[in-house]
Amino acid sequence: MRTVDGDAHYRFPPASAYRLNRCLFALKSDAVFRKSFQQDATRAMTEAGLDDREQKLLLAGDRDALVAAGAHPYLVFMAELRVRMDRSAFEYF
Amino acid sequence: MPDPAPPIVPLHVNVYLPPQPTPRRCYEWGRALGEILGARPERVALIASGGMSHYPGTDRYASPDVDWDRRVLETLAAGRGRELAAVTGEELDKTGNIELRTWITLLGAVGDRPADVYCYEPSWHHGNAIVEWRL
Repeated sequence: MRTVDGDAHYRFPPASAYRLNRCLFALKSDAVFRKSFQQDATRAMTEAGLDDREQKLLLAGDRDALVAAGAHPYLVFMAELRVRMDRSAFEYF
Repeated sequence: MPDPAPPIVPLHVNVYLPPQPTPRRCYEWGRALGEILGARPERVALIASGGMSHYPGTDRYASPDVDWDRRVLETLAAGRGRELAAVTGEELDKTGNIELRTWITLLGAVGDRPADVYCYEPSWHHGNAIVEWRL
């Protein structure tokens, strides 16, 4: 099967970034996890299995560095958006 | 919503994680779905939702390809929906239209009927359109 990858905007993440992407997905879709992250981010990320480097990247919110570490761009985007939505109401369009 | 509420069957199309289905596969899948629904006694509405020119999480986010979106809508209004089945996955990615796979699936079901294009509203990061095919 021919696939969209290579220099595509959205590539298949490496297995090494599995925990990082799981954590981003939970931030996007799991309100309980997102609340625990808001209360104690380090503890939530540790329980999600993120290593020190991944935790620093996520706390810094550096999209390019997260993607370079294997995070899926859409999950980075949505995780950041949902965390921001919990913190304050905003007009996005 | 009428009472009783009509049954809703969600259909998921993977658009963000390679390997995504090719536009051709989406179209053919929609065509098969259309054949099945056409043989059913129920009245069925197909609703496809997906952003046009949308690059969330990338450097292109604030640069939607609205010209490509407008050409797509012209194609649909002219009743040439099948042409979208020939678009490649690479082109969908390049133009920020990977979510159009949901539209292309629906196109397989409605065929080459001309679409009523009610609006196209580009935002700074997105194209929004409302399109209907009355069967």
